[in-house]
Order: sequence, then C-alpha cells, then structure tokens
Amino acid sequence: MGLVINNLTKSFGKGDIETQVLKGIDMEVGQGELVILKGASGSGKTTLLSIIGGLLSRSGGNVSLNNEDYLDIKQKDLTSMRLKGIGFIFQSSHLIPYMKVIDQLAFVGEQAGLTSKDARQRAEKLLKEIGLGHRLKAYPNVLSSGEKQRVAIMRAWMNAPVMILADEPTASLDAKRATEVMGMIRDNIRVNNSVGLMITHDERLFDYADRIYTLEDGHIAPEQKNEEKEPVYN
Amino acid sequence: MKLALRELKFYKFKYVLVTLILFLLAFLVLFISALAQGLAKENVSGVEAWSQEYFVISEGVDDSLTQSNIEEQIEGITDEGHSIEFSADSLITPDSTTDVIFTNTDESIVPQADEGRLPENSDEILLNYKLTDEGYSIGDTVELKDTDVTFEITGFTDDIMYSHTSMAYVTDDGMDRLERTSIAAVALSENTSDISDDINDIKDVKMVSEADIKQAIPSYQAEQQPLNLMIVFLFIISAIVLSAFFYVITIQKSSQIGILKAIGTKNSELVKVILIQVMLITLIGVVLSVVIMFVLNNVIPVSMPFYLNTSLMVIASGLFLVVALLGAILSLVRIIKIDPLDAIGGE
Repeated sequence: MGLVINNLTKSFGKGDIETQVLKGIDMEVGQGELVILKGASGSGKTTLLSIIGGLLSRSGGNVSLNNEDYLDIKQKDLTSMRLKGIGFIFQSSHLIPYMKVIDQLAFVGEQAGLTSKDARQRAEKLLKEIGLGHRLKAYPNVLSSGEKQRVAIMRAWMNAPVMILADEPTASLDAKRATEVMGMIRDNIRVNNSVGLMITHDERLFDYADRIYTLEDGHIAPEQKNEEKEPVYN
Repeated sequence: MKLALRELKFYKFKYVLVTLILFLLAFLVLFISALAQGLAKENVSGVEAWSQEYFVISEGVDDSLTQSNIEEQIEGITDEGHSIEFSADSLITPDSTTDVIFTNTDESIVPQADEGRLPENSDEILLNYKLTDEGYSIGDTVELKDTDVTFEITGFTDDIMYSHTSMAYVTDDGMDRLERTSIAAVALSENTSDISDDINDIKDVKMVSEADIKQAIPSYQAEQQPLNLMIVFLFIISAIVLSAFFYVITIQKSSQIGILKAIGTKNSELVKVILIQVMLITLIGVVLSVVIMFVLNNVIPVSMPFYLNTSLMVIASGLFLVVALLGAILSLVRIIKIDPLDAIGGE
C-alpha cells in the first residue's frame, strides 16, 4: 500500500544524445509516512517528483498508489487526479495574486466539484487550524513569506489528497519558519494518513522524516536509518 | 467565470486602459461608418427617394442626371413612366447663396413632406431639410439668384440630395418659371422587354438601373472607398491591439498558469478565463461607443453628413466581438502550450 515504485527509468533525448536521468528507481512510501528525498542538484530529484506527480511521462517501470497504476490514464483524467488525489507544495508559494487567501483554497475545492459554500467552509476551517483565521480576506501581496507558504500548504490539503508532493517547500523560509512549516506538513500527513514525499537539502529538517532516500547518479543510494539525535534547534 | 472576474477586478487599471483603447477604436469605427453613411446620403438620397428601378437617360453623359437631357426624345418614352425635370440653380440665403437642384413633383414618385406639405401652386416649394440650417423655415420666401423668381416654402423633407446638392421640389408649373430646365430622365418602376425594345428604337437614349445612376456620381465612390478602407483597417488594428495585449499578459502569467495546471486546473477552464475577459472588455468598449454615438446623433448639427444606420451598427458591433475573439487565439494557443512542469522548475 502507499506509493510503490519499481524499476522506474527516465531518459531525455534520443539516440546518441540520450541521457538517462533515472536508472531504475525502487522505493516505497507508506500511508501516514513522510519520506525525504535528497541528493545533489542534477541528480534527478525533481524529475522523479514530476513523474510521480503525473507532470512528466516515464520511460519505464511501474508506479502505483494504493495498488492503482494511476499514471496510466488519459491526460485529462490525470489532470483531475492531480486536482483531487495529489497535493503539490512548491518551492515558493505560487499563490494566485488576485485571489484572497480564502479563495485560494476555495477555488481548488470548487474545481474539484465542491459547492462554493462547502469549499469556503472547508477553506476557513483549514486556515483557522494553522492560525491564519485573521487573514482570510487578505490578498497574497500583504502576507509574509511564511504566511504565504502556510496558505500554499493548506491549498495542497484542500481536497484531502491521498499523496502530498513537496519540492523544497521551506527554501524561501528562515529557520524558525522552516521548522514550523515542516512540523505542520508532517502532522497533516499523519492525521490524514496521506503519503508524503518531500525534496529538501536542508539537513535540519531531516529529523521530521520517517525515512530518507538519497538519489545518486540516477539510483537510490542504500537507505539511511534516521538516527535518533538531538534536533539542531527547537 | 469567478477566476476571470477576480483577475479583472484586481488589475483594474491595466484592464480599464485596454477597455478604453477598445472603446476608442470601436467609436472610431462607428463614427467613420456614420460619416460614410451620411456622405452616401448626401450623394444618392435624392435618387433613392424616387424608389424607381430604372431610368431612361441620354447616351454619352456618363449616367449623370445633371447632364442628361432627353427633351427631344421624350415623346416616345413619357407614357411609360414619370418624367423627371432638373434645373440647377442657386438660392439667395441670408448670408450668401446655396446651390439647389430643382425638380418637379411628378405624380407618385415624390417623397412625403417630413414637415409641412408638398407644393401645390406654381410659387410654392419643398426644400431639403438640411437647408433649415441656412435659417429657412416654413412660410419664408426664397429668391433665385440673378432673377426675380421667388417661391414660398411649404415644407421640408429629410434626405433629398444629389451629388452633395440639396434638391427642391416645385410643381410642373413651378418648373416652367425657371430658366434652363431640362428633362433629365424618365423613371420606370419596372423593366419589361416591350419597354426596352421601344427604348432601344429611340436614338441617343439608354436605360440604366438605379444603382448605375448612384455609382456614376463622381463624389460617391471617391468618398466611400477610402472611408470603408479606414474601417477595415480599424478592425485589423483592433484585432492586433487585443492580441498583443492579451498575449503579453498571458506570457507574464505563464508560471501562474503552470501552477494552476499543476494543481489540477483544466485547460478548458483557463481558455474560458481568457475568452470571458476578452468578450467582457470588448462588450463594454462597444456598448460605451454605441451610447456615445446615440448621444452624438442628437447634438451634431444638421448640416454635418452623419447618419446612424442601426442595422449597420449592430453588424459592426458583432464584427468587433468576432475580431476580438480572433485576437485572443494567439493567447489561447500559448495557454494550452504552457507545461505545468515549468512551475516546478525542473532540473
């Protein structure tokens, strides 16, 4: 169960200029688990995340979520899968500048078929949970970067996704905000029993992960057990 | 719908500017077409007022009614239709003089008087409404230049002009009081082979259609062609302005569109946003310009060639919406091509 990846490969280009970025990835992320994916830049982390998120096609291998080969469907259905089943969190918040905070979330809910009223109710509930209840009617341009990223995280949770994919979600945040946001992501994954996969370079955040995969030269390096150690800060 | 409106509301200034440009373009199109219509009326409305299909005129006068004279041949034709007499003269106005073409009130082909009544006696006259601008009103006496012939105005009719000259209707007896009259044409409401056979037998006359008479007026084509060309260019300019504007905006928000796609917004939804925005902006611009046109129509002086043709305005407005949608195509193609992967910033 959860996310299961078998012998996933990805090549760019053809013939002589063909470069294999992913050379047979095997990994698993269970439900309620937050797994960190690290690796040097250019190692193929984002490519892997994009394939799992259905944004990029794969060259070979199998990817399944809760025993479903969810990537082998029509492009249109994949878009709808991204809407309802997968929550994305990006490096920067990427909020829509002309939408109020509550509408950022409500829009995603409405797209997935919620009524306007239900979507706003759920959005309000989620935003209050993370302490943004006083910012519901604000536009993104007046929010701090921490607040923006919190909104973006809640946007990812709006449709109660089966899987959360995060690409360096704390890159634009200071240390204090980063741990805050990270804790929030982990708690949400546990509470909702979602599958969580996150790319990050930030070693201070490794403590929050259940497991850590290292991507090296297109392969997953031998698994590191997340050793018990004192958090760097808290 | 919400997405489109929220964006318009948030970037008010940007979109108000482009609406303003569109309003000005639409206004220019409508204004020039009203001008073209007004000028057309000044050229051909007198001919149209007769509502006759065919005219028998002199051969070799380039289909010009003012040059045609069929006085000698009239005997053979006159039974078939209505004879039209022409006399080009000048009236003395309070300020100077104005050229008019006198013609006769022949039976049923005379237009109705919009104001007052048709002349009944030889010293009565009905004038083109435009001449009220010279200070004339019903009951006034007008005098011909260089003569002592006078007429009393009994009424006015809108739109009786030929080649930018106002027409004046007098009775047949009234025509006899003028010098230099000629029988310019015989108007026929229909053409039968009998009639054309008869007319072909007569020397130095020919039969032409109403359209031929109109096209032969030199100023008519000369004015309509450049104005219509301007209108066509304005439509093209509108399409280009709109496509450039929306294309630039679309490029500006490429990453935003990528994000929307990544979090599961369908292409059709994003296409709808652009279409709604383009339609709304165009609609507001066009409606505004139509309103201004109607206001202008009430305040513009009667002497100005300006005529609002409602059906033409509806067509022009509709064409504007079509042109705007064509302008949006470039942006739509761009939107569909945006890859949600760009939002993530692949390695």
